Amino acid sequence: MKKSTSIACSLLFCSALPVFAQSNLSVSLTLPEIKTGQYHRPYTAVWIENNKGQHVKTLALWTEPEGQKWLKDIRRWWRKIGRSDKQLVDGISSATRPAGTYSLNWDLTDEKNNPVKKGDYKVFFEVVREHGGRNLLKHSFKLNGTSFEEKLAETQETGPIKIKLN
Amino acid sequence: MKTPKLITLASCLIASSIFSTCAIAHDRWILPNEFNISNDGAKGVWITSDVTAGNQVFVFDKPFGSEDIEIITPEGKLEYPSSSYRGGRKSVFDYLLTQPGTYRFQKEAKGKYYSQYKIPTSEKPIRTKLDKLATKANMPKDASDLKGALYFSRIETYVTLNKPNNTAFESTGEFLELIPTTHPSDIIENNETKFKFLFNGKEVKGVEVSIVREGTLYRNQIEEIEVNSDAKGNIEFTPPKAGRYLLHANYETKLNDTKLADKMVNTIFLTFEAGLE
Repeated sequence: MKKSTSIACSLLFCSALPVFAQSNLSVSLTLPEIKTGQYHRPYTAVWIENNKGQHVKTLALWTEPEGQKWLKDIRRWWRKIGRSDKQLVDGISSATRPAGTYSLNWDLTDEKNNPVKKGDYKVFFEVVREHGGRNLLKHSFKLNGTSFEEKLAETQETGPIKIKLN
Repeated sequence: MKTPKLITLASCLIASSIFSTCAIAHDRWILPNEFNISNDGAKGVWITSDVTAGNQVFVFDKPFGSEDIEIITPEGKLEYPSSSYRGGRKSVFDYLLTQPGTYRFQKEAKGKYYSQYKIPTSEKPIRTKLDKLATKANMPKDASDLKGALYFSRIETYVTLNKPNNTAFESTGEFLELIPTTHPSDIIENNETKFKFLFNGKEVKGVEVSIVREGTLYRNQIEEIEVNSDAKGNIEFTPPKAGRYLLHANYETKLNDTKLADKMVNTIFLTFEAGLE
Protein backbone atom coordinates (compact mmCIF):
# COMPACT_ATOMS: atom_id res chain seq x y z
CA MET A 1 0.00 0.00 0.00
CA LYS A 2 2.67 2.39 1.06
CA LYS A 3 4.88 1.43 -1.87
CA SER A 4 2.23 1.90 -4.52
CA THR A 5 1.31 5.27 -3.05
CA SER A 6 4.87 6.42 -3.24
CA ILE A 7 5.17 5.23 -6.84
CA ALA A 8 1.98 7.00 -7.75
CA CYS A 9 3.26 10.09 -6.01
CA SER A 10 6.58 10.06 -7.75
CA LEU A 11 4.90 9.50 -11.13
CA LEU A 12 2.62 12.38 -10.51
CA PHE A 13 5.47 14.50 -9.32
CA CYS A 14 7.58 13.60 -12.33
CA SER A 15 4.93 14.45 -14.85
CA ALA A 16 4.25 17.75 -13.15
CA LEU A 17 7.90 18.73 -13.10
CA PRO A 18 9.28 20.80 -15.93
CA VAL A 19 11.21 18.30 -18.01
CA PHE A 20 13.81 20.90 -18.88
CA ALA A 21 13.83 23.14 -15.88
CA GLN A 22 16.87 25.03 -17.07
CA SER A 23 16.23 24.97 -20.81
CA ASN A 24 14.78 27.38 -23.23
CA LEU A 25 14.59 27.83 -26.96
CA SER A 26 15.98 31.13 -28.11
CA VAL A 27 15.26 32.46 -31.53
CA SER A 28 16.72 35.38 -33.35
CA LEU A 29 14.71 36.62 -36.31
CA THR A 30 15.88 39.19 -38.82
CA LEU A 31 13.47 41.23 -40.88
CA PRO A 32 15.50 42.38 -43.90
CA GLU A 33 15.53 45.86 -45.36
CA ILE A 34 13.38 45.78 -48.46
CA LYS A 35 13.64 48.67 -50.86
CA THR A 36 10.34 49.20 -52.59
CA GLY A 37 8.04 52.12 -53.30
CA GLN A 38 5.30 50.89 -51.03
CA TYR A 39 6.92 49.27 -48.02
CA HIS A 40 4.77 48.29 -45.08
CA ARG A 41 6.21 46.59 -42.04
CA PRO A 42 5.30 42.91 -42.20
CA TYR A 43 2.71 41.15 -40.13
CA THR A 44 4.71 38.52 -38.31
CA ALA A 45 3.93 35.50 -36.17
CA VAL A 46 6.35 33.10 -34.51
CA TRP A 47 4.92 30.08 -32.75
CA ILE A 48 5.40 26.47 -31.69
CA GLU A 49 3.37 23.47 -32.83
CA ASN A 50 3.50 19.89 -31.59
CA ASN A 51 3.95 16.90 -33.89
CA LYS A 52 0.20 16.75 -34.51
CA GLY A 53 0.21 20.24 -35.95
CA GLN A 54 -1.52 21.67 -32.86
CA HIS A 55 -0.63 25.10 -31.59
CA VAL A 56 1.43 25.06 -28.40
CA LYS A 57 2.55 28.63 -27.86
CA THR A 58 2.74 31.87 -29.76
CA LEU A 59 6.05 33.63 -29.17
CA ALA A 60 5.38 36.77 -31.17
CA LEU A 61 2.51 38.41 -33.02
CA TRP A 62 3.32 41.73 -34.64
CA THR A 63 0.36 43.50 -36.23
CA GLU A 64 -1.31 46.88 -36.39
CA PRO A 65 -3.72 47.81 -33.57
CA GLU A 66 -6.65 48.11 -35.99
CA GLY A 67 -5.36 45.28 -38.12
CA GLN A 68 -7.86 42.54 -37.25
CA LYS A 69 -9.02 42.55 -40.85
CA TRP A 70 -5.59 41.40 -42.02
CA LEU A 71 -4.90 38.79 -39.33
CA LYS A 72 -6.21 36.08 -41.63
CA ASP A 73 -3.35 36.85 -44.01
CA ILE A 74 -0.97 35.34 -41.46
CA ARG A 75 -2.60 32.29 -42.83
CA ARG A 76 -1.25 29.32 -40.98
CA TRP A 77 -1.07 31.06 -37.63
CA TRP A 78 -4.63 32.36 -38.11
CA ARG A 79 -5.87 28.88 -38.91
CA LYS A 80 -4.00 27.18 -36.09
CA ILE A 81 -4.89 29.54 -33.26
CA GLY A 82 -5.70 33.14 -34.13
CA ARG A 83 -9.26 32.56 -35.32
CA SER A 84 -10.13 30.51 -32.23
CA ASP A 85 -8.70 32.55 -29.42
CA LYS A 86 -9.42 36.26 -29.42
CA GLN A 87 -8.10 36.65 -25.87
CA LEU A 88 -4.75 35.26 -26.84
CA VAL A 89 -4.61 37.58 -29.86
CA ASP A 90 -5.47 40.61 -27.76
CA GLY A 91 -3.03 39.59 -25.08
CA ILE A 92 -0.02 38.89 -27.21
CA SER A 93 -0.21 41.18 -30.22
CA SER A 94 2.15 44.11 -30.41
CA ALA A 95 3.14 46.62 -33.05
CA THR A 96 4.79 45.69 -36.33
CA ARG A 97 8.59 46.01 -36.33
CA PRO A 98 10.95 47.75 -38.73
CA ALA A 99 13.82 45.92 -40.39
CA GLY A 100 16.22 44.58 -37.76
CA THR A 101 17.11 41.55 -35.68
CA TYR A 102 14.82 40.47 -32.85
CA SER A 103 15.28 37.96 -30.06
CA LEU A 104 12.48 35.75 -28.88
CA ASN A 105 12.40 33.15 -26.20
CA TRP A 106 10.37 30.02 -25.54
CA ASP A 107 10.45 28.76 -21.97
CA LEU A 108 9.12 25.36 -23.11
CA THR A 109 5.66 25.95 -21.71
CA ASP A 110 2.26 25.99 -23.40
CA GLU A 111 -0.24 28.86 -23.39
CA LYS A 112 -1.30 27.94 -19.86
CA ASN A 113 2.35 28.14 -18.80
CA ASN A 114 2.47 24.42 -18.14
CA PRO A 115 5.76 22.78 -19.10
CA VAL A 116 5.50 20.76 -22.30
CA LYS A 117 6.39 17.07 -22.58
CA LYS A 118 9.39 15.61 -24.32
CA GLY A 119 8.83 15.00 -27.98
CA ASP A 120 8.82 16.46 -31.46
CA TYR A 121 7.99 20.10 -32.02
CA LYS A 122 8.20 22.67 -34.76
CA VAL A 123 8.87 26.36 -34.63
CA PHE A 124 7.13 28.41 -37.32
CA PHE A 125 7.90 31.85 -38.71
CA GLU A 126 5.23 33.48 -40.87
CA VAL A 127 6.01 36.88 -42.32
CA VAL A 128 3.45 38.63 -44.53
CA ARG A 129 3.85 42.07 -46.04
CA GLU A 130 1.04 44.19 -47.47
CA HIS A 131 1.74 44.73 -51.17
CA GLY A 132 4.61 42.32 -50.67
CA GLY A 133 5.25 38.63 -50.26
CA ARG A 134 4.74 35.96 -47.66
CA ASN A 135 7.19 33.43 -46.33
CA LEU A 136 6.44 30.53 -44.03
CA LEU A 137 9.49 28.89 -42.47
CA LYS A 138 9.56 25.97 -40.10
CA HIS A 139 12.10 23.99 -38.20
CA SER A 140 11.49 20.60 -36.57
CA PHE A 141 13.29 19.70 -33.41
CA LYS A 142 13.24 17.24 -30.54
CA LEU A 143 12.91 18.10 -26.92
CA ASN A 144 14.84 15.27 -25.35
CA GLY A 145 17.50 17.06 -23.36
CA THR A 146 19.90 17.50 -26.27
CA SER A 147 20.81 21.06 -27.11
CA PHE A 148 21.20 22.28 -30.69
CA GLU A 149 21.86 25.35 -32.75
CA GLU A 150 20.45 25.88 -36.21
CA LYS A 151 20.34 28.56 -38.89
CA LEU A 152 17.57 28.90 -41.46
CA ALA A 153 18.28 30.09 -44.98
CA GLU A 154 17.23 33.62 -45.88
CA THR A 155 14.07 34.15 -47.89
CA GLN A 156 12.55 37.16 -49.56
CA GLU A 157 10.80 38.31 -46.39
CA THR A 158 13.20 36.93 -43.76
CA GLY A 159 16.89 37.54 -43.10
CA PRO A 160 19.04 35.22 -41.00
CA ILE A 161 17.15 33.17 -38.42
CA LYS A 162 18.99 31.42 -35.61
CA ILE A 163 17.39 28.85 -33.35
CA LYS A 164 19.16 27.62 -30.26
CA LEU A 165 18.12 25.22 -27.55
CA ASN A 166 20.12 25.38 -24.33
CA MET B 1 -40.51 37.51 -62.42
CA LYS B 2 -38.12 35.29 -64.27
CA THR B 3 -36.88 36.49 -67.59
CA PRO B 4 -37.29 34.31 -70.67
CA LYS B 5 -33.50 34.16 -70.81
CA LEU B 6 -33.33 32.53 -67.41
CA ILE B 7 -35.97 29.98 -68.24
CA THR B 8 -34.09 29.16 -71.40
CA LEU B 9 -30.92 28.69 -69.44
CA ALA B 10 -32.57 26.55 -66.81
CA SER B 11 -34.24 24.28 -69.31
CA CYS B 12 -31.10 24.15 -71.38
CA LEU B 13 -29.05 23.13 -68.36
CA ILE B 14 -31.51 20.51 -67.43
CA ALA B 15 -32.10 19.27 -70.94
CA SER B 16 -28.43 18.92 -71.63
CA SER B 17 -27.72 17.16 -68.40
CA ILE B 18 -30.68 14.83 -68.67
CA PHE B 19 -31.73 13.98 -72.13
CA SER B 20 -29.22 15.02 -74.69
CA THR B 21 -26.21 13.03 -75.69
CA CYS B 22 -24.08 16.06 -74.88
CA ALA B 23 -22.67 15.19 -71.47
CA ILE B 24 -21.49 18.64 -70.46
CA ALA B 25 -23.91 21.06 -68.91
CA HIS B 26 -23.01 24.47 -67.61
CA ASP B 27 -21.46 24.50 -64.19
CA ARG B 28 -23.19 26.72 -61.66
CA TRP B 29 -21.70 28.38 -58.65
CA ILE B 30 -21.85 30.93 -55.85
CA LEU B 31 -18.48 32.66 -55.54
CA PRO B 32 -17.94 34.89 -52.48
CA ASN B 33 -15.27 37.59 -52.47
CA GLU B 34 -13.61 35.82 -49.53
CA PHE B 35 -14.06 32.51 -47.77
CA ASN B 36 -12.25 33.21 -44.51
CA ILE B 37 -12.46 36.52 -42.74
CA SER B 38 -10.93 38.00 -39.63
CA ASN B 39 -12.69 40.89 -37.97
CA ASP B 40 -13.53 42.33 -34.59
CA GLY B 41 -17.12 41.71 -35.52
CA ALA B 42 -18.75 44.69 -33.89
CA LYS B 43 -19.50 46.36 -37.20
CA GLY B 44 -20.02 43.21 -39.21
CA VAL B 45 -18.32 42.29 -42.46
CA TRP B 46 -19.87 42.56 -45.91
CA ILE B 47 -19.57 39.60 -48.22
CA THR B 48 -20.49 39.94 -51.86
CA SER B 49 -20.97 36.90 -54.07
CA ASP B 50 -21.28 36.20 -57.78
CA VAL B 51 -24.00 33.80 -58.83
CA THR B 52 -23.50 32.46 -62.33
CA ALA B 53 -23.35 29.54 -64.70
CA GLY B 54 -20.51 29.02 -67.12
CA ASN B 55 -18.39 26.42 -68.86
CA GLN B 56 -15.01 27.68 -67.65
CA VAL B 57 -14.49 27.55 -63.93
CA PHE B 58 -15.34 30.97 -62.49
CA VAL B 59 -15.68 32.73 -65.83
CA PHE B 60 -19.20 34.06 -65.44
CA ASP B 61 -21.43 33.59 -68.43
CA LYS B 62 -25.09 33.33 -67.53
CA PRO B 63 -26.87 34.77 -64.50
CA PHE B 64 -29.45 33.06 -62.38
CA GLY B 65 -31.50 34.48 -59.56
CA SER B 66 -29.63 35.44 -56.41
CA GLU B 67 -32.48 37.17 -54.56
CA ASP B 68 -33.61 33.83 -53.17
CA ILE B 69 -30.20 32.57 -52.09
CA GLU B 70 -30.56 31.08 -48.63
CA ILE B 71 -28.06 31.90 -45.94
CA ILE B 72 -27.75 29.53 -43.00
CA THR B 73 -26.11 31.39 -40.13
CA PRO B 74 -23.66 29.88 -37.61
CA GLU B 75 -26.67 29.51 -35.27
CA GLY B 76 -28.62 27.63 -37.92
CA LYS B 77 -31.06 30.43 -38.72
CA LEU B 78 -32.30 31.01 -42.27
CA GLU B 79 -31.66 34.44 -43.77
CA TYR B 80 -31.67 36.06 -47.19
CA PRO B 81 -29.42 38.53 -49.01
CA SER B 82 -29.71 42.16 -48.01
CA SER B 83 -29.63 43.14 -51.66
CA SER B 84 -29.15 41.52 -55.03
CA TYR B 85 -28.65 42.44 -58.63
CA ARG B 86 -29.07 40.56 -61.88
CA GLY B 87 -26.89 41.57 -64.77
CA GLY B 88 -26.47 40.21 -68.24
CA ARG B 89 -23.73 37.78 -67.28
CA LYS B 90 -24.02 37.25 -63.55
CA SER B 91 -26.09 37.94 -60.48
CA VAL B 92 -24.65 39.38 -57.32
CA PHE B 93 -25.85 39.43 -53.75
CA ASP B 94 -24.61 41.06 -50.57
CA TYR B 95 -24.84 39.84 -47.03
CA LEU B 96 -23.50 41.27 -43.77
CA LEU B 97 -21.83 38.75 -41.45
CA THR B 98 -22.45 39.85 -37.89
CA GLN B 99 -21.51 36.89 -35.75
CA PRO B 100 -18.47 34.64 -35.73
CA GLY B 101 -18.75 31.18 -37.23
CA THR B 102 -19.46 29.43 -40.49
CA TYR B 103 -22.19 30.55 -42.88
CA ARG B 104 -23.66 28.45 -45.65
CA PHE B 105 -24.84 30.18 -48.83
CA GLN B 106 -27.11 27.96 -50.89
CA LYS B 107 -29.39 27.91 -53.85
CA GLU B 108 -31.62 24.90 -53.71
CA ALA B 109 -33.54 24.01 -56.79
CA LYS B 110 -36.65 22.23 -55.56
CA GLY B 111 -37.21 18.81 -57.11
CA LYS B 112 -38.57 19.20 -60.65
CA TYR B 113 -39.98 16.66 -63.06
CA TYR B 114 -39.06 16.50 -66.72
CA SER B 115 -40.39 13.97 -69.19
CA GLN B 116 -40.07 13.14 -72.85
CA TYR B 117 -41.79 10.96 -75.44
CA LYS B 118 -41.55 10.18 -79.12
CA ILE B 119 -44.07 10.72 -81.89
CA PRO B 120 -43.93 9.17 -85.38
CA THR B 121 -43.71 12.50 -87.19
CA SER B 122 -40.65 13.78 -85.33
CA GLU B 123 -37.20 12.30 -84.91
CA LYS B 124 -36.51 14.41 -81.88
CA PRO B 125 -38.24 13.53 -78.67
CA ILE B 126 -40.87 15.90 -77.33
CA ARG B 127 -39.95 17.26 -73.91
CA THR B 128 -42.22 18.44 -71.13
CA LYS B 129 -41.71 20.07 -67.78
CA LEU B 130 -44.18 17.71 -66.23
CA ASP B 131 -44.07 14.38 -64.49
CA LYS B 132 -44.86 11.20 -66.43
CA LEU B 133 -48.45 11.04 -65.25
CA ALA B 134 -49.27 14.56 -66.41
CA THR B 135 -47.31 14.07 -69.61
CA LYS B 136 -49.19 10.88 -70.38
CA ALA B 137 -52.49 12.68 -69.93
CA ASN B 138 -51.48 15.36 -72.41
CA MET B 139 -49.51 13.48 -75.06
CA PRO B 140 -50.98 12.36 -78.38
CA LYS B 141 -52.35 8.85 -78.73
CA ASP B 142 -49.59 7.69 -81.06
CA ALA B 143 -46.83 8.81 -78.67
CA SER B 144 -44.38 6.23 -77.33
CA ASP B 145 -41.24 5.77 -75.24
CA LEU B 146 -42.38 7.91 -72.35
CA LYS B 147 -39.49 8.58 -69.95
CA GLY B 148 -39.24 10.90 -67.00
CA ALA B 149 -36.79 12.04 -64.39
CA LEU B 150 -36.87 14.04 -61.18
CA TYR B 151 -34.09 16.62 -60.86
CA PHE B 152 -32.75 18.19 -57.73
CA SER B 153 -29.73 20.43 -57.33
CA ARG B 154 -27.88 22.36 -54.67
CA ILE B 155 -25.43 25.14 -55.32
CA GLU B 156 -23.51 25.98 -52.19
CA THR B 157 -20.50 27.50 -50.52
CA TYR B 158 -19.24 28.30 -47.02
CA VAL B 159 -17.85 31.52 -45.58
CA THR B 160 -16.30 31.71 -42.11
CA LEU B 161 -15.85 34.73 -39.88
CA ASN B 162 -13.21 34.14 -37.18
CA LYS B 163 -13.75 30.79 -35.44
CA PRO B 164 -15.39 28.10 -37.61
CA ASN B 165 -18.32 25.96 -36.49
CA ASN B 166 -20.38 23.13 -38.01
CA THR B 167 -24.03 24.07 -37.47
CA ALA B 168 -24.55 25.39 -41.01
CA PHE B 169 -23.84 22.02 -42.60
CA GLU B 170 -25.90 19.74 -40.44
CA SER B 171 -27.78 17.22 -42.55
CA THR B 172 -31.40 17.94 -43.44
CA GLY B 173 -31.95 14.34 -44.54
CA GLU B 174 -33.37 15.32 -47.92
CA PHE B 175 -31.94 14.04 -51.22
CA LEU B 176 -28.23 14.32 -51.91
CA GLU B 177 -26.13 16.27 -49.40
CA LEU B 178 -22.43 16.98 -49.07
CA ILE B 179 -21.15 17.10 -45.48
CA PRO B 180 -17.68 18.62 -45.23
CA THR B 181 -15.83 16.21 -42.92
CA THR B 182 -12.84 18.46 -43.40
CA HIS B 183 -14.18 21.87 -42.43
CA PRO B 184 -14.26 24.21 -45.46
CA SER B 185 -11.94 26.57 -43.57
CA ASP B 186 -9.40 23.80 -43.12
CA ILE B 187 -9.00 22.77 -46.75
CA ILE B 188 -5.29 23.29 -47.43
CA GLU B 189 -3.11 22.67 -50.47
CA ASN B 190 -1.30 19.32 -50.42
CA ASN B 191 -3.39 18.16 -47.48
CA GLU B 192 -5.99 15.44 -47.70
CA THR B 193 -9.58 16.68 -47.69
CA LYS B 194 -12.54 14.48 -46.77
CA PHE B 195 -16.21 14.96 -47.59
CA LYS B 196 -19.18 12.71 -46.99
CA PHE B 197 -22.23 12.27 -49.18
CA LEU B 198 -25.66 11.41 -47.83
CA PHE B 199 -28.78 10.53 -49.76
CA ASN B 200 -31.97 10.96 -47.77
CA GLY B 201 -29.78 11.10 -44.67
CA LYS B 202 -27.90 7.86 -45.37
CA GLU B 203 -24.29 7.41 -46.50
CA VAL B 204 -24.36 6.85 -50.23
CA LYS B 205 -21.95 5.01 -52.53
CA GLY B 206 -21.24 5.88 -56.13
CA VAL B 207 -21.61 9.66 -56.14
CA GLU B 208 -19.53 10.86 -59.08
CA VAL B 209 -17.44 13.85 -58.13
CA SER B 210 -15.25 16.12 -60.21
CA ILE B 211 -13.14 18.87 -58.65
CA VAL B 212 -11.61 21.59 -60.81
CA ARG B 213 -9.30 24.42 -59.86
CA GLU B 214 -10.14 27.87 -61.16
CA GLY B 215 -8.48 29.21 -64.26
CA THR B 216 -9.35 26.57 -66.83
CA LEU B 217 -9.45 29.36 -69.41
CA TYR B 218 -5.70 29.80 -69.04
CA ARG B 219 -4.49 26.23 -69.20
CA ASN B 220 -4.72 23.54 -71.83
CA GLN B 221 -5.87 20.70 -69.61
CA ILE B 222 -8.74 20.88 -67.17
CA GLU B 223 -6.71 18.92 -64.58
CA GLU B 224 -9.82 17.75 -62.78
CA ILE B 225 -9.72 15.40 -59.84
CA GLU B 226 -12.28 12.63 -60.27
CA VAL B 227 -13.44 10.48 -57.38
CA ASN B 228 -16.46 8.35 -56.46
CA SER B 229 -17.88 8.05 -52.99
CA ASP B 230 -17.20 4.74 -51.22
CA ALA B 231 -19.63 2.55 -49.29
CA LYS B 232 -19.57 5.01 -46.39
CA GLY B 233 -20.31 7.94 -48.67
CA ASN B 234 -16.79 9.30 -48.29
CA ILE B 235 -14.48 10.89 -50.79
CA GLU B 236 -10.87 11.89 -50.21
CA PHE B 237 -8.74 14.11 -52.40
CA THR B 238 -5.73 16.39 -52.11
CA PRO B 239 -5.90 19.86 -53.66
CA PRO B 240 -2.56 20.21 -55.45
CA LYS B 241 -2.41 23.99 -55.18
CA ALA B 242 -3.90 26.76 -53.10
CA GLY B 243 -6.77 28.46 -54.88
CA ARG B 244 -10.47 28.37 -55.52
CA TYR B 245 -12.11 25.14 -56.64
CA LEU B 246 -15.47 24.05 -58.01
CA LEU B 247 -16.76 20.64 -57.01
CA HIS B 248 -19.47 19.03 -59.10
CA ALA B 249 -21.19 15.96 -57.66
CA ASN B 250 -23.69 13.86 -59.54
CA TYR B 251 -25.81 10.98 -58.33
CA GLU B 252 -28.50 9.15 -60.24
CA THR B 253 -30.78 6.60 -58.71
CA LYS B 254 -33.66 4.55 -60.06
CA LEU B 255 -36.96 5.21 -58.40
CA ASN B 256 -38.99 2.34 -56.98
CA ASP B 257 -42.23 4.07 -57.83
CA THR B 258 -42.00 4.98 -61.51
CA LYS B 259 -45.46 6.53 -61.86
CA LEU B 260 -44.08 10.08 -61.93
CA ALA B 261 -40.47 9.48 -63.01
CA ASP B 262 -38.11 6.61 -63.74
CA LYS B 263 -35.07 8.02 -62.02
CA MET B 264 -33.86 10.82 -59.82
CA VAL B 265 -30.85 12.94 -60.74
CA ASN B 266 -29.08 14.86 -57.96
CA THR B 267 -26.47 17.52 -58.55
CA ILE B 268 -24.36 19.50 -56.09
CA PHE B 269 -22.02 22.34 -56.93
CA LEU B 270 -19.73 23.40 -54.09
CA THR B 271 -17.32 26.31 -54.33
CA PHE B 272 -14.42 26.17 -51.89
CA GLU B 273 -10.98 27.55 -51.24
CA ALA B 274 -7.81 25.55 -50.62
CA GLY B 275 -5.58 27.71 -48.48
CA LEU B 276 -1.82 28.07 -48.50
CA GLU B 277 0.09 25.80 -46.18
